[in-house]
Amino acid sequence: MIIKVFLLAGLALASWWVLKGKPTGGRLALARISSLLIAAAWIVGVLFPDTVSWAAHAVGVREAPSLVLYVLVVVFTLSTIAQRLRVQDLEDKLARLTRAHALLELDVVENKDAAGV
Amino acid sequence: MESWQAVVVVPMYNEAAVVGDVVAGLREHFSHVVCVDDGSRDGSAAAARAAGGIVLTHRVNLGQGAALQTGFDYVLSRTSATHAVTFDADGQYRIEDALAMLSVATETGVDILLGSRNLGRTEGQPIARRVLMAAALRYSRRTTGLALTDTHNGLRVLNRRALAAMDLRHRGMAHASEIESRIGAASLTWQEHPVTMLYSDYSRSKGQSNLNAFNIVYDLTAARMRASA
Repeated sequence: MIIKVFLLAGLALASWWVLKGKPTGGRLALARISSLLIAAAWIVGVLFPDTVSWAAHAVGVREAPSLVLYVLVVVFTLSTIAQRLRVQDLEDKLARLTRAHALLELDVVENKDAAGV
Repeated sequence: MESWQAVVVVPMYNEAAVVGDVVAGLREHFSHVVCVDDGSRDGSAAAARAAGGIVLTHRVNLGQGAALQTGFDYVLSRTSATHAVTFDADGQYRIEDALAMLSVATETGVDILLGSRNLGRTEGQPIARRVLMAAALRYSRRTTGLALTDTHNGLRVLNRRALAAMDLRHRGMAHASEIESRIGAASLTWQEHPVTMLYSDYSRSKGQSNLNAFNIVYDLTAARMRASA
């Protein structure tokens, strides 16, 4: 039961946090800290496999691999959302740049025509 | 002498086969036609230019929404036109409808006048597209709260107030829903006007896939989720 609440509430909360606004320095730092914590947990899990079993039982999951799978699904989902938003942000910038370029290019052509170049 | 000064905005993407005739037809009635070439790989830009249009070029393909926004920016920043007319490059619309809509927009002072094929008529529309448009219309009416009779109709007349209210973020075909949403959000006055839509073999083959309707709904829903998060 604990793991169900943790996974669903955690996923909803993190999705809201990822979606809610533009990237800032603080948000980037939190994302990087989360990544480092996950990497550290992974290293601990590899070096001391019993800790994964202990953590699984502590949150009500019968087998350690199931807990790993649950955590990976959450991480993958959040990573996908974050990457999608990042690509969308880049696409928005590309669109603004392309549209501004189109107008400026016309100005250049018209100025050249007016100057008889 | 007309009381309006209008710029016709024609977004185009790989329309070299037809855009020359469309622009030439428009130029008989409008002194200012601006074509926004959205990264075409054929000779669309040359054809439009040869027919008397001013061509703005997107070096990469962004989508019709982005092309329209570039056209709107051009009208606002480079001209003193009272109105902009949006007109598809594939020849689906009639120039006489655009002229009639301009007259109505000028006489009434309405901010945005939307073409409606359901108040007018449609020739050659496939049945699947008709069913899809009926569903799209219900969706638009529900999401915008406007009593529309048609949706995603590319023939529109906007005055400068309406142009200034547009900041289209949806670069693809969802921009049509976004324009309708902006009407309510910016408290623009609006009306519809009957128009005739002519589906030719060319426009049927060139037109967007019916499956693209799913992309439009997906884009709009994702944008709403992001806005409300």
